[in-house]
Amino acid sequence: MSLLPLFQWAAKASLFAVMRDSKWGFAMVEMVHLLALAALGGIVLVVDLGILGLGLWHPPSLRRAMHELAPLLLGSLVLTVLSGLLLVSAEALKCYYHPAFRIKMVFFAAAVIFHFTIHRKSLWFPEGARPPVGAKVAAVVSLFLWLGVGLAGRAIGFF
Amino acid sequence: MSLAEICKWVNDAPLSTTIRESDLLFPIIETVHVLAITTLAGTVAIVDLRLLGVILKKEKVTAVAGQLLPLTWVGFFLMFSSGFLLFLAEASKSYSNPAFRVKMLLLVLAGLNPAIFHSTVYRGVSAWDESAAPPWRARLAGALSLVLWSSIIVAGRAIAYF
Repeated sequence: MSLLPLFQWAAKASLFAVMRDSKWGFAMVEMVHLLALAALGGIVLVVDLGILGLGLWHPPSLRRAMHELAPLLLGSLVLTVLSGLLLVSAEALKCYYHPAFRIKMVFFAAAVIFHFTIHRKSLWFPEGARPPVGAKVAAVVSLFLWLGVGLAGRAIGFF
Repeated sequence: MSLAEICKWVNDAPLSTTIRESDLLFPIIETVHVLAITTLAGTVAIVDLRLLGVILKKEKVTAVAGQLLPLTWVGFFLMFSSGFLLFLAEASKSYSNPAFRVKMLLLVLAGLNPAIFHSTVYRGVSAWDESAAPPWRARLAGALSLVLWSSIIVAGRAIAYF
């Protein structure tokens, strides 16, 4: 099944006319997207570097800190997705055919799925213990996937 | 020499011209700049939210701030150096860009805020290190920092629209 009809609909939908026709509509949503991804990327970085033991969040506070940052991460993720959907609606067909956008979506899907499955499970080590090798590998994979999202996302604007 | 003339001179320097005219250099530096903002603003926001008593309430303020500070400095260094290179390439354009001017002003304020905070209320941090709700001046510094850095990101993004 092709997603093209969906993007074609979005490109014409009157619902998104504001996003398409006003320069500042797009700009404001893009700013929200940037603010939310700064929070998201910052938290991912803090958590994953913490698991890798790079000077941040020494155990025993590591697990507790990650637990407390989880809602913030979820909130910024929701905000990036919502603002991202609006941005796509303004340039639906450009995005559909854009290689960087496609790569970004693959990385994004992988990063989100990985985050809520393997990454989350890898954090089930005992309170106060040092993170096991599995958790460290998961942290590296997570950093790689989110970096891919960021790089591909930035590349959409360049061609 | 006026500021506008200095910017013009910087703008026409060989390094600036190289960055501006390169198909790859400018996007690469800009990508580093955005990633660095994530590192800087993300870690700063976590410390600010601790000062406001929103998250990590059971952690000591000094533990949160101390552990994140190295990462904040890495982000700051990358952001400042990449931002400086971007400015070189577009010095003349930046000079007359209102969003750029606002951003520079906000950056000065964002620098003054922690300078004042660290030389005043933070000196007595041992008295409220474990407090879930630090004194109002600490909370004010945290709130100001969140507002200032968010505004810097917004103003930075707006540069492209003028």
